[in-house]
Amino acid sequence: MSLTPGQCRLYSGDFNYVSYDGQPDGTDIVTIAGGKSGQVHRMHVRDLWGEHEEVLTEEEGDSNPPPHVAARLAEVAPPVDVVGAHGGAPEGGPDV
Amino acid sequence: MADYPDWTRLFQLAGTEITIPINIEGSDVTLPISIDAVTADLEVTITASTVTIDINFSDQSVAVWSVDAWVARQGQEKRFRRSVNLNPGIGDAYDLYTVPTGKKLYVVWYKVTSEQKGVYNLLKMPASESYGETHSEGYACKYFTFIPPLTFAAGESVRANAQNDGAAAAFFISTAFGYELDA
Repeated sequence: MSLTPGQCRLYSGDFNYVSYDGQPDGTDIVTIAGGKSGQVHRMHVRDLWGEHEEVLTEEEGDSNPPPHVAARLAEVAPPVDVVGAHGGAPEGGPDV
Repeated sequence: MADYPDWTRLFQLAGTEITIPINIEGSDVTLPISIDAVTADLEVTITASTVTIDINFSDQSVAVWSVDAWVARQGQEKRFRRSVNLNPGIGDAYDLYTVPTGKKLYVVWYKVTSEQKGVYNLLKMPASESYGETHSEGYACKYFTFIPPLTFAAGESVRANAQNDGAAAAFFISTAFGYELDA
């Protein structure tokens, strides 16, 4: 049996947040976020944790903000430090 | 190393750079420490059956993190949420997570909410140990803090259990928070 990427994250614990929304037909919408991957997986699963677990659909998205929000964040971001994070000299300057 | 069963000495040091490694073994140890410095690094390792720590910080910028805040800062937190709409008289026992090999899960708190009376608890499976059991008589928002945290070993599961004892269908939401470390 081959696991989907979302199942791999669920069973390996590669997440910080998981949400199970029970559906009227007994299936679940599972949302997995956080962890090392930085991705958000959203799965529609039948018999989750059960013997006959089956992923009906699975979507993968990143956790970045939408483009219009990203543009606003970029506008208010602090200017780039030309000296560098480690205190190195700017280009052309003395290397002390 | 010599044995000093009743031995007390006051250390009073003044200098620009002071390093003091301390290794104390005894049946009863009391260690008052006062540090007055511009910057100070203090590493303390204590192995004892009973530990009492009394620390006072003054006039310094000190960050002392609660375990909840620290694990979140380290990216080790685990939050589980289960939402289900239950008809009257119907129960829902649902696994939130099974701890993978090589890991250990610590559950710090558990919360349940519903719009109908019912019974809720958190179970450790397969032992069926029950925690935070509640019988609510109406709208419920119950919050349980576990001190020390509940521990789940590899292969053990966290199960949320809820039963609607009310007269109408309602959403039952169970949330658990904890952190996971290498076993």
